[in-house]
Amino acid sequence: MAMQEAAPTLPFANDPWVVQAAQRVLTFARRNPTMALGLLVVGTMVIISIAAPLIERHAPDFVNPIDRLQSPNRSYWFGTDQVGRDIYARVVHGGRISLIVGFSVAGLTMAFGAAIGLISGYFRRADTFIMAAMDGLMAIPMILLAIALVAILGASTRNVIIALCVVHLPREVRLVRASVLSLREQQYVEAARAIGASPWRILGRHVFPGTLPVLIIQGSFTCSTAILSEATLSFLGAGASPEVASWGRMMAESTTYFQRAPWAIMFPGIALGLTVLSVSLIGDGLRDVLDPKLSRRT
Amino acid sequence: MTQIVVPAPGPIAQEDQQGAGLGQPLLDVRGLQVHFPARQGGIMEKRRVVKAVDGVTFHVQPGETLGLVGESGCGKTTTGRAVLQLVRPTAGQVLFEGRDLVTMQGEALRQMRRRMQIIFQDPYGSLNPRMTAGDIIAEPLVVHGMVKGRQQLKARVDELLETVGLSATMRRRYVHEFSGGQRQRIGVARALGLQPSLIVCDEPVSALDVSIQAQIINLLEHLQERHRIAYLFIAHDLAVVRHISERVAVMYLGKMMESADRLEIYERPLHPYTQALLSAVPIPDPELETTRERIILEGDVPSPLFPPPGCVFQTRCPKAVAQCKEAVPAWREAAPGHWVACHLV
Repeated sequence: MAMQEAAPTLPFANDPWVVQAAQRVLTFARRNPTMALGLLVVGTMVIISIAAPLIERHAPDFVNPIDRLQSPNRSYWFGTDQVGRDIYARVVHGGRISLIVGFSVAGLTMAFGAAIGLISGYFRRADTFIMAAMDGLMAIPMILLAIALVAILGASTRNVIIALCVVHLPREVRLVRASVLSLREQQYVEAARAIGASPWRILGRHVFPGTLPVLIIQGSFTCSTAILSEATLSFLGAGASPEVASWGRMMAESTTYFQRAPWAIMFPGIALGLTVLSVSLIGDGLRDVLDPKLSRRT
Repeated sequence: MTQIVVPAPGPIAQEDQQGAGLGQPLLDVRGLQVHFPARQGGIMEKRRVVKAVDGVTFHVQPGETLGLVGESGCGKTTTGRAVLQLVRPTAGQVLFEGRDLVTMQGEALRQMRRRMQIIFQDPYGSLNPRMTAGDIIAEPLVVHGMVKGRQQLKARVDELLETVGLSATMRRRYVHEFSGGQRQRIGVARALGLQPSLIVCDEPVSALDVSIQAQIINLLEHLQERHRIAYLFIAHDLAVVRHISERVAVMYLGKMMESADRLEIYERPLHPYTQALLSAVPIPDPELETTRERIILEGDVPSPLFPPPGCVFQTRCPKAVAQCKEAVPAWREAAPGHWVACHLV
């Protein structure tokens, strides 16, 4: 691929360590093409979001009514919206919200989901109460619950993250608990009890490592659904505060005139779709890599 | 093989030795019961219990091997686990070094685990696949703070590996890199590390090839001689049990049928079930083999959900009389050291 051709022209290309690393990357990409593609796109998105102030051509919040509803052109690569803001700048900045929300929600639900799921699966007495609470949360439609929580907590990026964590937590807990229930019956867990290991040691050293594949895979899917949910919340007006550019809000604002200026809804939509798809591709790839039955042992 | 350096016994060990010294058994199990709730049928139906172990009594002397035999599902594995409190008994006493384990909880019980260990039947499932051989053997030492510092831990692990006939270089390997016999050796090393006075061997060789079985049996015998470990040796292979045990106990459907010294039970079995069991062992001599009298039991083992009334063996016993259906036979000493539960003896 591109990397292979680019490598010889670089000054340090003959460094054996670099060659080896490049080869390893290529082997990985050949074995897991979808995952490599996902990683490439998400990596690019992360870089673009971080570098947004450097690569923008106009300030994302600069209102210029004279240039409103322009179709994509040399000055405005993705066109402008109904008040003349640069859609390219807003798409580039909007990625920040999506990625921050996606990664934080995934990280937090993984951490809390693992802790609660381990306790619920291993200590039978806690199980009844925890699972009742989780089932209760799951009974309420996801988006309604998230809107309600944001309404109570107030609109801000932090509160959107909290709300989405609450919404996604039960799924993570259920999956971890299910794998704990099967792992706790493993004979090596009984062996650990027989040598006198404490329950916490058993959980940490013998049960938790076994739940990691499930945890990581579910985490990647949580990430992509959280990005979508954040866009949905913004679209419905229950997202982060209105002055922050976000893909969901951009799409909501352009619905009224999308026949006149389809680019205003198209570009944030493409960015959103591409990001969610890539994160899902990574999740699929992780499932294949982490599944012991599919893994290639060399 | 290097010599295992046995550290001077601590205050606990000394106390135990004094307590267990004068003819007192190391392990004294009295009326052990393990009942599991069984879910079946409708909600209205009365809740049933599976009496996996139902009133089992036996003892193990320090440094001896008690063979526990019986068909699959007779409760011998559950008995072994209940002794170690891996399954909590429903009733009965398990006196280990004079202290009742059944009433012990949490930390006190964890401390007792140093003195009693288990070797599992399945050398694949009983070792964590995400740990190296060295980590597995080191874990009990770390848990009980038996060694100080990394150097000492590594030295002790290497020593244990060599004691069980593995090489110290195998410390870093993962479990899946070992053969079945080697894995069982790792299991033995793990149990041995805490210098226990009792090891429950739960069919430790039945998952292995015959040639490997002999190696593991020899290893166990060798370790017993050197460290004076008592074994509760659970097995269904009568030849293996005959080889390794000083005394043998026979179980059927959760109950003890007979127990006696090895020679006594193999030469003069009193219980009809033991007689039938022993008649199934082939004689390694073709001429004698043709004259061997086989007692073939009719039918299957009854479900432990619905055990027959009276003697549990009466449904298949070739000698059963009316009394067997009515009264549960008492567990009594028919000859010195020879206990049996049968009306006819």
